[in-house]
Amino acid sequence: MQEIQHYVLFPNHDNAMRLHRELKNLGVRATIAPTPRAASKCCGVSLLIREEDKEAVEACIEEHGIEILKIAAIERDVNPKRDRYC
Amino acid sequence: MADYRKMWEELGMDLETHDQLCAVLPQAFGDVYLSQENRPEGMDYYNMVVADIHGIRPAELIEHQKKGGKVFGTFCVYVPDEIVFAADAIATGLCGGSQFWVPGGEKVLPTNTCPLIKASVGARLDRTCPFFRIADMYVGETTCDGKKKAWEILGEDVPVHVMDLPQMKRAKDIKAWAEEIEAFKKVVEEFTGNEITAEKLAESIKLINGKRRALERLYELRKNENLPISGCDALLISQIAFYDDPGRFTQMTNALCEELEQRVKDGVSVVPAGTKRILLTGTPLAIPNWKLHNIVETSGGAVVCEEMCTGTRYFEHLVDESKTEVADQITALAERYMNINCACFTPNAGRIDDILRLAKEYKADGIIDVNLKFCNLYDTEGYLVERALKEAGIPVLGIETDYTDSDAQQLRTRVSAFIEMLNN
Amino acid sequence: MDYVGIDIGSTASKVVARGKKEMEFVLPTGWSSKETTHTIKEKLKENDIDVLSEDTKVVATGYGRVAVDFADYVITEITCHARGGREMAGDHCSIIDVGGQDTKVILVENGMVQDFLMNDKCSAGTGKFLEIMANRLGVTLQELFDMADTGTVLPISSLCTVFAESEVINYIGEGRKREDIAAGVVDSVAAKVAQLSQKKSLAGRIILTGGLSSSRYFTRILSEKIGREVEPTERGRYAGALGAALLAEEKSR
Repeated sequence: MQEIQHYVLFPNHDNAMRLHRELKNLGVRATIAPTPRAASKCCGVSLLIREEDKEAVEACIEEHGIEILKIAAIERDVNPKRDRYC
Repeated sequence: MADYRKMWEELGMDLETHDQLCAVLPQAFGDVYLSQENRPEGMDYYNMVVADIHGIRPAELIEHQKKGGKVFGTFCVYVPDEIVFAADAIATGLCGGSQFWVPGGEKVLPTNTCPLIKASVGARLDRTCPFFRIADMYVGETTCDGKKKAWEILGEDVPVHVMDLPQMKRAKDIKAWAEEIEAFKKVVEEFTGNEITAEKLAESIKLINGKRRALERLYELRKNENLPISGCDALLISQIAFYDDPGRFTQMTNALCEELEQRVKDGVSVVPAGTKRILLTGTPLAIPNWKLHNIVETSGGAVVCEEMCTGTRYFEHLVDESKTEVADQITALAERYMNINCACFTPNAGRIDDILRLAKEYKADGIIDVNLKFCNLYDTEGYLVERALKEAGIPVLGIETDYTDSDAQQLRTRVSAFIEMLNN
Repeated sequence: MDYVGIDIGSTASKVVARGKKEMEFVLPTGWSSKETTHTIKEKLKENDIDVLSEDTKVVATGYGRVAVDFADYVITEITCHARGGREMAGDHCSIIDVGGQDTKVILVENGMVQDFLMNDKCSAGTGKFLEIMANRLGVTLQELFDMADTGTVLPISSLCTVFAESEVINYIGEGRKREDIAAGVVDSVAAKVAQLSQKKSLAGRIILTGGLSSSRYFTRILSEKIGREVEPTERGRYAGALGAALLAEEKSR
């Protein structure tokens, strides 16, 4: 079974940083990552969160009025031996 | 996500071509970085910088220009950033680490030019690098023949100042370099309209030394038996050091080091015990060139140190902070920069001493001498480097590669065989 | 127990089984390492070796080694060739392997790999070069060697296969003797292999492995170039697979 990953996408980088900070205060781990092409065509920052934290993240977004575009669920596609560099 | 399209458009960039680079970066980054287990949380900052590498920092540089500040694009660890920052200007690295830019460079350069130069020229001519578009002046140097001629091509529509780096290390050469720094200071003062006073220079020397100390602290942590950070991550930090705001970079790197120091106390390692410790030596690995680190670290090795421009050559040795007169400060700068051991010098025995010393300090099990294709200087010096390492009883693997993916399988075979050899 | 070594090379795949059942075979790799792997699995099964069984240990090596999804261990061809070569020439030896897509020089000391070298990306100095030139002359590899033996070397100066092929075409156009062209082709490969070998100090017996390993003509030319005797090996093409099978046994101990 393919693992699903959740990426929070933002209209700008400030909101991403705000959510990252708030989640850190809550002890919720969110990894800053480049937005995967499968989720959006734009370059830029998104937050990679764990499945089990999704509700907590949504609540945090609501509470702090952080602007997001969406939370995209995409299949995990990470292969360190793919050898496709850029 | 943040839309930098407008900014790129205003910079006169070729958006369509540039988008091809944006398209491949997330996957490559994911494969190399998000695949790692137990990454330090402090890496989030660098993830952010990479995720928006052509957005956030370029936007800051443009802000700086709007306030009347100047931006200098530089290519080499010999160019003294201190001079630039002392004139309230900003120094930034320029693009040159991706195959994406190479074909553009090949349109005008001979095929047997190193990929770093081809990529830089391609990024400039194809208008796909915001840093090249933003920089008000490029600062070149005479560290190799390829670059010397490249400045003439790059200088056709942007002012270029070339610093004449001596190729030997006699007292008169250090004096000559001090004179070059003095001349550079005048150029910067004239170009920015800001005078570089002893106070300003003292301040910028501290600023850049701060960055060096932070990197030194980071590298110091890699000497531990338990590795608190991967080589891929350390490389990313070294690469970003060339672009980021120095003050912020220092702060974020120190914060990361605190996390890593805790890891060391707790005995945390990002690799299993017995993973072979590899020191890389050779030509620079400009962002986003992560190929060899990734291959080593997915073949049973861990990169513990880089004797490279994107590594120890960038931060080792501090500039003397005690000088209060501009002339003395410039001498101090010249002395510090002439301590760097680049293959463009003859003789360059200091580099071999460095490698032997670093191998000991970082407890390297083996060394990979990795050079960019067509870098004649490093390739030739490789003969002496590899011989000296053999004599010292340190296993060494020589590799010549470029930015393409096409040799990845061959590299995997060589690197894996090298690590199998170390394991026996 | 059965111990199987599978060496998926770029041109040929070699299999050696040891233990309960002993056998060896070679087949062309073709266009798909996966498919070749499947054929190997079936062929072993016909001979009562079940690669999926607990009682069978498999080591995969060669450029297509990752395609062998049933392998217990994956080990590079350098280590495997060294192990196989050691079996053929003892604990102190130098192995020159001219393969389909790359040429390797491996120094073995006290039974361990002490150092190694591989050619660059380019195919000059590999079996591929000979294959291309034999095709150009319309002969098999063996015929190429036989012809070369009676010819006088025509110099082929280009280091690049593509350019060297044009040189050969020029010679054909000039109506030169095929034997002389063949001698030139073999000479050029031997020179390239010798040049690579001489970057390392070859010690102990020097053996040739890989697809050309049994050619006495090639080892003779190579010996002349290197200035030391390079011994042909009858089973040299199996060196990697044999080493893999031996390592399968040693690893599972």
